Amino acid sequence: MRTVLSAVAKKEILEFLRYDKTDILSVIAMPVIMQWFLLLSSIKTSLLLPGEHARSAPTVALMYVPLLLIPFLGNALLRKSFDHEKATGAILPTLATGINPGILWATKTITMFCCCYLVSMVVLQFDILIMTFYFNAPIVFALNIVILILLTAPILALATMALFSFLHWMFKLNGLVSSLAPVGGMAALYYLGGSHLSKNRLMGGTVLIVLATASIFCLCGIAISRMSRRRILSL
Amino acid sequence: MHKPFAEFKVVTKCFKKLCALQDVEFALAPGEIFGFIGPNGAGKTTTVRLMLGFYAPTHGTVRILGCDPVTEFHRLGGQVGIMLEQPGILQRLTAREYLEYFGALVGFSRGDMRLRAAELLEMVQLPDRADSRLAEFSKGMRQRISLARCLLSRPRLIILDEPFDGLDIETRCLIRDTLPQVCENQGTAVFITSHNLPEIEEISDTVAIIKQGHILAVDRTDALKSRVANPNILIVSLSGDYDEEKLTKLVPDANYRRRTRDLVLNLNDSRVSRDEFLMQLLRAGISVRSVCQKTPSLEDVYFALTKAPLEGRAS
Repeated sequence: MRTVLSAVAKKEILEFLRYDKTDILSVIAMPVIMQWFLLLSSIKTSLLLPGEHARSAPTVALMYVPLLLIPFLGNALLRKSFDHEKATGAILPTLATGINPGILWATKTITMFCCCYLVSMVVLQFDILIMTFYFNAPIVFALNIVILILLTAPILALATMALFSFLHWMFKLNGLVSSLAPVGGMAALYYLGGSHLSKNRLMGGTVLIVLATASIFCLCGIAISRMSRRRILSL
Repeated sequence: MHKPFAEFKVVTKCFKKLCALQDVEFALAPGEIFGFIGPNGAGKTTTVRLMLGFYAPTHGTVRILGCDPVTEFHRLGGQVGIMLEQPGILQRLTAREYLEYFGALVGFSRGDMRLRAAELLEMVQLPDRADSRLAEFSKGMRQRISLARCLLSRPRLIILDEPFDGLDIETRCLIRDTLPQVCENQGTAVFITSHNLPEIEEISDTVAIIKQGHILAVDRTDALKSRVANPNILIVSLSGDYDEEKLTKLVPDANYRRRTRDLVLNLNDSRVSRDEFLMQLLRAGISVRSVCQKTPSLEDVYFALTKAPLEGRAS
């Protein structure tokens, strides 16, 4: 089993590294621009308003980097991997090896998530550099904020990605499914920003979010394991 | 007696209003090459998908190596090799990475995987392209890699769906020469669907002909050919200074067909018998090199059976 999992993960990483870099950069650009709108408004808040809450606002707003970038980039990778393999029939010999489709799905999704997570961390570092040296915005390195940015927000993004990934395996309507990601991202941005989502609310929900994500992931994995291979192949 | 490697028992497969297969029955013995031929839309790919467990039969039973391919597919992994018309390759991987990936999926250790991948790349004559990405490969090269993947785990059963389509002569020869060797050396059974009748005729031990979801005939290749052998079809091999007009006047009601330097003569609808024709030929002093009875090819069998109405089908 370990050999199988590492082979699938290695294959996904190799493919990720060999995708057209321009494609990947153009996908990354959109969520990065979106999160900068929020970042800029929180920088203004922190400079204008006094108090600890306002001071930590720009750092908290960094949570939108993984929260937006992972689903956007993840969805693009899902399209490039799952959809392409379905369309070209490349998934067929893989499934004919007798591998459990649920395990294949989970390994692929987790590997893609890890790739997206690493990219989001690189973007995060650039954001911090720009915030610090260009905007002179304060960066607050409190444990709860670090957990929020490095754990809670990415886990929430993983749940979104798992659902997208599940839909990619379930349906052949890839154009429709794919369009859900940007729409979902915009809706999330509007909802989270518009409802003044506090870091405390998210921080308090870390355990709940992790549990919910694990449940979503397991349910999707079980559903795919039980799904007929005909359905996965869209025959 | 060995158990069959693949067995279809009265299999019917229907999709909503369409019945793609009806009461299909055949068995594939170990070490046998089984050709499955028929026109487009006859049900060949449906049969392959049933064998791979991607479809469940509407009625009847499909057993592959003693297992139900739909519910017990995990037990068949590595024992069944497949090669399809669409090679389904992973374009961003190199040939070696691709084979090693599938090697890992079927349970090879890292060391064995590398050795086996190198051995197979040698076999499909691509050792110098081992580190090239598959995206750079031509269709023929992709099919060769697909063949290598198919043979990777030394499977007991190989399923090939239209493997010769759109391939150059070299790749066709490679596939045609490799399969009998594998069958002989490993006792592997091969199920092969194709439109390429000369190749099927050359390598198949048994052939099944399918039309509109019905099996028209299943038999040893020679037995099928002897079914349609017709003593009234003669091939007259002409010498350089023959007189075609004189020749055709000998039997005006016969059906003549020119084939390069030969004349194919069908006396089925003629009042002149074969012996009478030969006598007249001698009497007229027409210069011919040889006259022989036409040996039927698989193509003749195919046309004889597929052009007949379904009600009169042979079993």
